[in-house]
Amino acid sequence: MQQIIKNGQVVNDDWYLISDNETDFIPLECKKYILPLAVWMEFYPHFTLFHEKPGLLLSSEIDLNQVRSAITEAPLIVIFFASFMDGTGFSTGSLLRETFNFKGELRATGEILPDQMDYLSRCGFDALSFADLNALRQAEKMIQAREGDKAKNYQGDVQMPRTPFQQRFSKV
Amino acid sequence: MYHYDDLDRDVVHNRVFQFKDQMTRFLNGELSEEAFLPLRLQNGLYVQKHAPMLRVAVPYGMLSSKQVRRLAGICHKYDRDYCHITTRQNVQFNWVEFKDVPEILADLASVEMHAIQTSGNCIRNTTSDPIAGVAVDELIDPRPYCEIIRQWSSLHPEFAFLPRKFKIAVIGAEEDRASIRLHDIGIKAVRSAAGEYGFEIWGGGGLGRTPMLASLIREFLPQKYLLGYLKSILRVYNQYGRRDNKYKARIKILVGALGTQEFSRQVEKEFERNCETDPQLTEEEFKYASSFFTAPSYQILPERHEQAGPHPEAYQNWLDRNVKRHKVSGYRIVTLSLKHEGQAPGDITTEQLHHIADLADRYSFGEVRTTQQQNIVLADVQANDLYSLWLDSEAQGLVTPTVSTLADTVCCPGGDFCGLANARSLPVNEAIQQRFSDLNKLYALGDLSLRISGCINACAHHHIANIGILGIDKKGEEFYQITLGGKTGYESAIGKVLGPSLPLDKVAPAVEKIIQLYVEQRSDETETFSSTYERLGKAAFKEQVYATDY
Repeated sequence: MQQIIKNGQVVNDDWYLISDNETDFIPLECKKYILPLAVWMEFYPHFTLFHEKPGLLLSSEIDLNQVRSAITEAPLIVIFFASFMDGTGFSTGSLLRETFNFKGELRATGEILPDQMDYLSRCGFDALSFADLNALRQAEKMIQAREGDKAKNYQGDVQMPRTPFQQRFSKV
Repeated sequence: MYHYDDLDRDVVHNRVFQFKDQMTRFLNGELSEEAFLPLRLQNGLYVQKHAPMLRVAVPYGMLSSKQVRRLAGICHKYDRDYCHITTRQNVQFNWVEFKDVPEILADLASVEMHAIQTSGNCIRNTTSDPIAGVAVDELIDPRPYCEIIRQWSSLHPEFAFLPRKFKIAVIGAEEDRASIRLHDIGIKAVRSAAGEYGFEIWGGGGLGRTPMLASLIREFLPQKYLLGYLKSILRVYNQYGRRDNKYKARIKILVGALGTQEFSRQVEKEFERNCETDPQLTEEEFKYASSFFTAPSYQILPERHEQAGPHPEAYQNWLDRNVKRHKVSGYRIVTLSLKHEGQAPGDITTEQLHHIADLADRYSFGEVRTTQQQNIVLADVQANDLYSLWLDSEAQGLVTPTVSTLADTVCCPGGDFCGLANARSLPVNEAIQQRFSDLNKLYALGDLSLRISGCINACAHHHIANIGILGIDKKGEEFYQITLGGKTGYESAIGKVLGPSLPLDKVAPAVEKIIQLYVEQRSDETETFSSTYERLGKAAFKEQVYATDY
């Protein structure tokens, strides 16, 4: 079973990701699935064949306004990063949390770096699925090195944004 | 100036620690070159022709004497006893060793400095008016806003992997000494008719391959919304800016493609969504930020109280060219020129840095500014200290009396150092300067800007110079394109290419011919180069340069 980082911990992942070209797949009982948007829409809105409502896989440059209803329905949204240099997904994640008020699990996958972990989590991603085991191990090491001590920053995060000096005043 | 508190120190120390780990992993082979690239760039570390280059942030150009001494220490210990002032008011070390970089960053952190976001596709160092706080024409001191933006943009989680680099400049004076219209976002602090503080917001400017002046996208933004509005612009850019072609990735291309109106509409739509829910800047925060930029303890002095003469002519020249009026009676703004003959424009030695730190302590409340013009400013010098300051600095080569003349060239390191350059820029400058070494000849031309970039990245901002020169590569040979008619200040304009590019040895003669036509044709000695150029048109200058020999 593949492992992911969830809420800062390495956990087993029991969701199965279906790729774009598996259009004719039939869901097995007792399995949880993540479907690309097109496949997801085929089963929408009843998902009768599914044991549990499937998660939704979106590319990072998706126009969220076009998938409003899917966002409200999906228990889990996975944003696919095509390249670690392409930061569109950081805005997509922030918008999902901030504007679309998405409360489910928000997962980043694809070409992401362990070094982007802090930024991703501050943009609302509570789960990270790395493309290879080395990256996962590196991320784990980095979490351990931090020992729960959250890195200090000026902006807060998407859940609790702040202006730079705000936290200094609240201390006084 | 701004002083770090615990949070600032934590942020910078964490980044130093993180970078040390990234460097170790890279050197151990645990981090690929490809993945290390954006991480090191976001920490100002380039791989150059001869050695890695480290670019250090100087937020809006402000430095304390203590910081200047630390830079001198780094120059001496890790570099070749000199560094370089950039057109974004930053400092570059050209000869550092890869392995020393974490240690240099720790050294910098100990004096409240860093290299965060001085490169890479992220929000870069916020620049400003180099004479902010002391300028006679200033309405509002822009530095508190710059500091708020500096903090907000540092390690912002959403905007660290943008389509391309992103530059912000803020001014608060009538004259634009920070070229805000050449920035991705240009901000002018203003007051509304009702007396409310706020900003004019300009967007979509930039140089490089497709130079564009920014358009006005918000006439008046109340100051409490500053960060929400910046976020809206960046968010639209991050979502819709192009990523398929690096030369079309800057926000100017997006603004150009959508049109200013549509771009503004999208920004406003995003802003409407967040403006009331996002935290706004409070009066208390502005007051707090402003408290770092209060006036130093000026003495009450008569406006004129210079040391009695007679003084040498060279001193008089320096007073005329390098010393400016100050908003406080009896004080002056002094530019220490880094355009000494034989020295690359903007280069500064360990010894000069120490000297400048001493001058700042002795004459200018221990503070120093770097300028986009690649000089150093001492902003608060008493008029009766000017002569001593001049005498003290002459031997250091810091009093070249040529500020704002043709000899005050802005020049990138070019092909001699930079890995990106297509051609060298320093020898071009040398060849031009040789033809204008006579000061009287130079002064007769009045203010005239010359900028030389070694490639289309346009680090020297050649497009906004009266005379701009761009190095290009033609089948492995260095050629140079001349642009005329650019300007910045009260008005901004992008220069136009004069004609076919020229080989190195033809550039200085061409510049001389251009100047010759200007001198012959100007209506009187007060007509600027730009005015003459606009009046005569490009064709006359083109004819002058290309008609005969080329």
